[in-house]
Amino acid sequence: MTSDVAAGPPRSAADVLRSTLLSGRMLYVAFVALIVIFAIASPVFLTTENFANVGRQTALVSIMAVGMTLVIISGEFDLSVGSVMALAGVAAALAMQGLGDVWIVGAVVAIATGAAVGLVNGLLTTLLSIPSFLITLGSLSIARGLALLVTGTRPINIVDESYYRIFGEGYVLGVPVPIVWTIVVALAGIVLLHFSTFGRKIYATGGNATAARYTGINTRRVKTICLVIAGTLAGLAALVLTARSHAARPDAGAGIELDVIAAVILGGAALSGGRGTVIGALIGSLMIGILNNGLNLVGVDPSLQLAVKGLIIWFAVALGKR
Amino acid sequence: MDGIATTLRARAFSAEGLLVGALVALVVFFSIASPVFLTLGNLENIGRQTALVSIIAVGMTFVIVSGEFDLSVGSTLALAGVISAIAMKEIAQYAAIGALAGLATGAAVGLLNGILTTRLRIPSFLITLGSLSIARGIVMLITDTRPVVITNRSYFAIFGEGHFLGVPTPIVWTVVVILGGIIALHFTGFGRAVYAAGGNPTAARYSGIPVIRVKVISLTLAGFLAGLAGLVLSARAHAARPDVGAGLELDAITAVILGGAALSGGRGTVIGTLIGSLIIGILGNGLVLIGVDPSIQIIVKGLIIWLSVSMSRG
Repeated sequence: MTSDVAAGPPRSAADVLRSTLLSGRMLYVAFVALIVIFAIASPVFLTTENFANVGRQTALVSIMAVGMTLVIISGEFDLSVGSVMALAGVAAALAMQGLGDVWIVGAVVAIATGAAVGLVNGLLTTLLSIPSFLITLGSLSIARGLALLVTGTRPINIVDESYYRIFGEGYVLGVPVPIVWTIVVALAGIVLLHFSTFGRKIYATGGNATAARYTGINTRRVKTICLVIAGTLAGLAALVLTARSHAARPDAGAGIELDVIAAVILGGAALSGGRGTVIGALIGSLMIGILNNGLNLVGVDPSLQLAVKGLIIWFAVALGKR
Repeated sequence: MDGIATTLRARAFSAEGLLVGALVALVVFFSIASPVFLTLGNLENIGRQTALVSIIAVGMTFVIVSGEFDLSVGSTLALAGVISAIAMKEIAQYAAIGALAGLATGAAVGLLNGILTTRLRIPSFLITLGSLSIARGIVMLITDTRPVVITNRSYFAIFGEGHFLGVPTPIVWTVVVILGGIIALHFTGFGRAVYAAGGNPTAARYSGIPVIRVKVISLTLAGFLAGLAGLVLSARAHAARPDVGAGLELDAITAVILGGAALSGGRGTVIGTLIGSLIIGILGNGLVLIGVDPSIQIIVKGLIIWLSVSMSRG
């Protein structure tokens, strides 16, 4: 007890942020390169209108990627976000149909549905000590089945104009609301993850759960909260999606979890936990979106786009290794 | 290395015992609930329906026991089927050409997965997530998203519609693959190396086991078996469709985990996997027979995953 204990307190969040940014420098180079290539290849690419398009198209993935970033840093996974998005949208639409077409009803129900599924994911994962990969694989099926069951597999129409405006089609200071929501979520995510005690606890939990427990961090609670946030944001994504399509489809969002995870990993997060940033995940999401958008503009076959997306994942993970 | 047999025996009386109990309970329940369930015709149906998942799940068992993952098997299945159909159309309508092209395609995808995973030291979860997209994209591209028709009768007979000693060929292939898997995993030096590579790669390396080669072979095998499943599927449909097999990887992984394998590697058996696949298949079949809404079936499938993973831990 006399010697200087070389106790390794968890690195400060700023340190983590800095080192991640440095190690992920290649990502930024690739990101800029992609923009330059498409700007040269297509005259439409660098227009404000097209950027608004990319922002709208990537809003769903970006919003959910912020939640997934927290989950992955905490050392867990959420494969259920696509199904949860469908279930939350359907629940919102049904609630508005039954209780009255007021946007706040839909909003509360969607968010609550997402949070509830996230809570179940979190409790089952932490209390049973089962990998979240498996628990959320189960919830993926269960949420999808519920969404199909309560709708009879049919889309539910939404008729509230202010709902469209607030979540899907309106503008704030000239910026389309899906982009506004993305920015709000990203800022909140950055503050929570990089500038709060809870954020440091997330890194500690994912980096070394045993050490975190010994320093008094309730790792179960941290992981559960991260999964609840991921579910909540899937609920918000449901609002954005259904407000743009004026209906909630029970088959929406199938497979989107892979895009979301790819964005987070592209952004420099470690699959094993303890590493990652919100900004990285956003850039990952934008890269995937710009790639889709740019390949469309240049007129590349959609089949080839799918193959290119796979190559990008290979490329990204190889870069991430340095 | 003697310990493996002991471990195997011990497990048969614990988790696998429970699993068999669950299987029997399901069979008894559906036999009472539906008069059709226990007929020979329906049992053949179950066998045919579970053939794809069972064949793929055997390959997945090797991969998971070796400590890796393969998310690309569904896309690989589609690619192998399509290449097989195109090869027969372009070269000559012989079953052997189709079979060779399909199996080689599957093995090639698996080999690529294995080499990228081990050489770049990137989690196979991510590498095969990439191949999932790439293989599917290639399938869509070369078929222009349209099915490729197959006209070779012996191809149908050998892989999809024939009978061997009265047993439908998809079931025969499943049995062959399972027996082959049991021998390779539980009775050969390679099988012991697979357990060692997944259980503790560092220790395995120090005891002279070529961990990288073991993982590459396991992933190649998974691709090869996905290719075989592609042949079985396209022989039954008389065409190779570019959109088949999406999501099949989740069923295969569920079967393996249900069968008692550890996600972290080093644990799992082929028989357990088969029982896992049968439980999923019987549940799907039985719920249809007693007239349960398909949406509820999806929910039940999720509950089964929850139940099985909590059982395997307890």
